[in-house]
Amino acid sequence: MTNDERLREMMLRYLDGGLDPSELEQLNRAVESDAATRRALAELMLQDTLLTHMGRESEFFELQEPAPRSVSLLNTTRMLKIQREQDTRRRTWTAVAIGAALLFTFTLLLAVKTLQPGESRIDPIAGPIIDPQAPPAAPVPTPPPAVAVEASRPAQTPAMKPEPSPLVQAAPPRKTKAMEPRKDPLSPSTTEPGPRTPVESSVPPGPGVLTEPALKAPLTTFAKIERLQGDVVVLFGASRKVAKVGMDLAWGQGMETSALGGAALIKYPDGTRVELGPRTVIWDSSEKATPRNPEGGLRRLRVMTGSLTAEVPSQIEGRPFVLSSSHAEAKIPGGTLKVVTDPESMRFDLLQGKVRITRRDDQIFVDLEPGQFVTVGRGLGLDVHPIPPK
Amino acid sequence: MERRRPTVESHEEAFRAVLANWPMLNAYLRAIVRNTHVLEDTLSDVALAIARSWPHYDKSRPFGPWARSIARRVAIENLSRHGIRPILLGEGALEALGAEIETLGDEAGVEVRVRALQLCTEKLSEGNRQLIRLRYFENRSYKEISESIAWTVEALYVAFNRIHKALSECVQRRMEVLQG
Repeated sequence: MTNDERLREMMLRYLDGGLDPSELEQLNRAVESDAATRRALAELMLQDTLLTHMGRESEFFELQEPAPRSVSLLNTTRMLKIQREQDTRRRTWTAVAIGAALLFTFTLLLAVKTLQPGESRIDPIAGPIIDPQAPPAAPVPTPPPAVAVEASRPAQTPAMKPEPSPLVQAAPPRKTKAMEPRKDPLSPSTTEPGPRTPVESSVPPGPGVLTEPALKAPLTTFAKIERLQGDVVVLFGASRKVAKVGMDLAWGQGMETSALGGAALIKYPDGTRVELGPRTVIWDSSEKATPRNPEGGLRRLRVMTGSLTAEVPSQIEGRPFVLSSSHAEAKIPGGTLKVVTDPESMRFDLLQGKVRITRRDDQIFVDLEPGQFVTVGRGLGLDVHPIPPK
Repeated sequence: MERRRPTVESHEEAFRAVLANWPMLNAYLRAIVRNTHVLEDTLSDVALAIARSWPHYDKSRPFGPWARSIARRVAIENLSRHGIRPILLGEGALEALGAEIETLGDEAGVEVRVRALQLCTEKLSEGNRQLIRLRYFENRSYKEISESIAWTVEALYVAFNRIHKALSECVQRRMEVLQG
């Protein structure tokens, strides 16, 4: 192992929390003194972050449909199926293209042969049998669909798309093989001639993955947008996209409503409805679904700022719906709770049902009854008050 | 010194700055907090701590170093609240890393990077994608992955090291193309 490789491995182990003090000191020195090491670790940290966020996007890993099999196995099977379909389609279109090219060549030869005996080009007008447009006309209708279909295939990446010219499609099979989507240009075995690609190395990968018990594909979204008013955006890391009614919110995404009358209603699969008021920012921080726990763990919505009302139907015992902020956490086993944040505090009004409000600083909690409210914040007691009549 | 109180407007302004620097803060905090749940709590605590301190922030100075100093303090407090002993690089090294992450791209740059990373990840071999999925989609630790696929953790470090290196190189090339 080279020095560089050892250092890179140390970086991974640092991010995993597995470095011993002497290695930590070594990495510390390298980061402080060597710009290349610093750059490499910074890139790794950012890549780690972005991959985690990408991992939450359903389409990335093609895990939209739950299925009663191991997700690992399911994915592998699905990938292989897609690849097989692509192979079949590619073979079909290659055959069509080759056929078209042969037809074209044949027609051309026929035309040339017909021209040769003497009538030739001298008297084209007089030759009623020969149509100069005919040879190219025959093959033209066939190849274009091959290109069009190939180009519109969603499963292919731009790098894998065929050249637009039908002649490329008609190229010998070896050329087509080079464009195989299964080819791994990133595989270390191609970039680094010495060691083999890690996954295809001496360690048998198959049985390990398949030893998992039967599992369901995990859910990748937590709620759907039911209603919108004014400007509302969906937040994903630093990215923002305009919210639309019917849009699914993926795990870890957030929403922001504008100060000028922005409002939104989101609905969870179990019927929980959360209505966001203007100038509100929320983030989903639920315990993510995994194959072992396909429905996900505790559902938690983080209220960064603004106001909202959550209507929560009765939940399974021990799994309340959680609204949290830096001030407090509200566990709702079922009920309607209104939350209003202030820069320094957060007020919880229980309209119906039950809720437990726990202050984060000291974990002291109060249980609210319908018609009561409590304000949690710096320097405030955890006093319960009746909601004043409107 | 007069204590300036945050207002709704200052709160909103602070959140905008936090959101614009979300990947940088997120990546920086990953070097301090490893537990996923603690990390998510920490991220929102950091956002609120920044919002609280916003009235005291001297806007003539860069946001990054100021925000990172708050992030580091909040992260260490959270670790200690959860009884986790931090295994950290020194403050100087962490700050140097934070500054380096900042140079890797602004908001728009990160968008391009994400796109490039998606394209590059799609080109990984099936086995490598499987590893990426286990680690980043299923959020499994190296130890858990090693148990599920019967590899040693060391072999996994080597594998991920190569995957990350290959992805970095590919992203670099792609970004050059995507950014023209």
